[in-house]
Amino acid sequence: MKKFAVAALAVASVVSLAACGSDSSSEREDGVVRIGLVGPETGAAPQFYTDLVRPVELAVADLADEYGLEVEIVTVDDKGTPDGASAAVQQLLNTEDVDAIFGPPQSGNALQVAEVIQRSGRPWLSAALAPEIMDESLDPNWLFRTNYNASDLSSVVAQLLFSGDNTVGIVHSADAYGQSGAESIEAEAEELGAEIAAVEAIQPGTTDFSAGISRLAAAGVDTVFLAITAGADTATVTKAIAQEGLAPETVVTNATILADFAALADPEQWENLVFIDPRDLTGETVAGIAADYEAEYGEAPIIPTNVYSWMAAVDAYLQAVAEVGDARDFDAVREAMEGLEQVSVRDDVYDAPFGAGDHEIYEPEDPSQWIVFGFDAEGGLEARGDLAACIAGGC
Amino acid sequence: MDAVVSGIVLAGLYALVGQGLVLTFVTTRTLNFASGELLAVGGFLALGVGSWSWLPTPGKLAVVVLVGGVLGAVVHRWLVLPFARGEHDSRWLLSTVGVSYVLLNLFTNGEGANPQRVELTRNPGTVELLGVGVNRQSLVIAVIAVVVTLALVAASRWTSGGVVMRAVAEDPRTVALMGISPRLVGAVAYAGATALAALAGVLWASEVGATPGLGVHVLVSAFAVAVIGGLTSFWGPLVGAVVFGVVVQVSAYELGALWGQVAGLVLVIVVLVLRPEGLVGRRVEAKL
Repeated sequence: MKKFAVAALAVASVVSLAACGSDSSSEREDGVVRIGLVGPETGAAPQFYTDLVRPVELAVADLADEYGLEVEIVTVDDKGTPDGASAAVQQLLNTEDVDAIFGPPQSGNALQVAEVIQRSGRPWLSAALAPEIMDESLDPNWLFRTNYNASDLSSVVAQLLFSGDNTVGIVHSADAYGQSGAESIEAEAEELGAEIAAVEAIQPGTTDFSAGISRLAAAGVDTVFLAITAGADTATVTKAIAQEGLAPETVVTNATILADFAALADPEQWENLVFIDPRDLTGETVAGIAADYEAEYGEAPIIPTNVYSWMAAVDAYLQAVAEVGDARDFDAVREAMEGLEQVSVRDDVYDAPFGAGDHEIYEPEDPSQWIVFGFDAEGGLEARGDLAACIAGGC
Repeated sequence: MDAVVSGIVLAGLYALVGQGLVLTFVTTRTLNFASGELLAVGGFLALGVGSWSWLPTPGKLAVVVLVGGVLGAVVHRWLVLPFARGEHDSRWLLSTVGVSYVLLNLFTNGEGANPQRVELTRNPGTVELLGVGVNRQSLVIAVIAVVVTLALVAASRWTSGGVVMRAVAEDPRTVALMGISPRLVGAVAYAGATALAALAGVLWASEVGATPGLGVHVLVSAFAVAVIGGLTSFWGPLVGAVVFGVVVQVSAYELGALWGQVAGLVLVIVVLVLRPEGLVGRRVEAKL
């Protein structure tokens, strides 16, 4: 009888603990908005973690009082791996009991946790680029993306790559982000009836890429697209381009190049290098954010585009929570986000950013809405003009 | 030809680090699995001493190499010796792996994981070698690797220190009876090996920036070249590195960049099966 009582007590304990884990949302009523951040504090690309946490801290400091909210930020390391992301998200949901999740910033890890977060029924804000993480057919859909997605970017980049008689080659990271970027451009090429002359992959951290560039040269490539996760690897590739004497007319990459590249490369490596972004990265808003960031953290933003995206995410989420008045009413917060009239990043305003069936802040628009950026002689960022002008007259 | 030349030049970095592995193996029959992180130590030390404007570059380099050497002796005394008390004691393997993780985390927490530019021995640009454009910094490293190899081969053959080193490797008990301390020889070997890792760290960080993970990829390749060439010969890392580098580059040129590294590691397996002592090594009994 005694054994039975002990067993019954154990079962009851397990059941009650399980209940705590599965339905804890109603238990925390302290009025504090708890935002969970998940990113790679350790691993191969910690810059994505740094430029998740810092902009959220800055934006919360700016906006919490304005919206009359008390906000707590909880951070968890996903170690830059899908397994780490799964564990980190479980921790945020079950242990930390957060009201919303921001991240993971890397596409592969975001894909890994997409289903779990959607099932949890809490607002999820993402700056990851992989189009696959957004399933707009879900009802309700808890994901709101405050960055462009790789598919939209690819359709824009493809306009530049395949304008004229360019012979295009691709170099991509051997990871989810790189493969997704390369596949998107290949799909765009197929749609446009164009051909990719050569595709090469680079392992993150590789010491030499001259063989890959030599293969591009052998294929007659004169325009290169780089879908590379880390700026350091981009530097390895552009060094090999210079070393092999490939001399492409244009090397098109993406904003991840802003992390580390200019600090590691030499001017000859960025002469013909450009990337495309819908935000004015040389404008006053970004400059103001960079100044505040540097004043707070003692260094410039590593990935300014992500900083911008996460600040937009904070504004969107806190606005919605302020409107609803209760961060624990997840459904109401999600609906409020869908109905936002505008989202702001300082002086930049996005009208009607989301809708019931539209959780992407950016839409593929006409080429004149996208800006082509390059580097000046000192490695500083410079705007070369809008995409339409670049296609028409070169950058 | 392009692949062969670039493979040979690429070999220098792996040979330099591989020499450190051979140096500790021939004297103590142990390997330092923290060599990759000690390579990163060199990179970060270069960042630190880089700002000492009062000291010329060779002096700064000497400081980094010296500090690396002291660290190596410390690793030997506190992390290898206590865990290598006999031929069946392999705990040094775990202790050196452990220190690699400790260093990795210390650097990540202290310096961040993003690359930091190192100017100390930076040689930017490309030079032409046998009609092939090669990276200037890699060429410098390759030349240093050859010089280090020749110096180690000469020292091991024609100096009393080299004779002692070989004697300790053959029979440490008899050497100890003759009044020579195998522990001291081991400490000197570890100091030399870590000094080489620090030197490689400075040179490589000047090319790709200093990061906590600077040595991770390099160490895998360094182990590969030491195994291919043979862990018992100072010619081993150089020969192994050239074979490894050429196989990697030729495979990458012919099959695609990703296949290069795969081909190099397949080569390691082939060598382990067909000639486990390495291309120029000799067979010894060692329990790892």
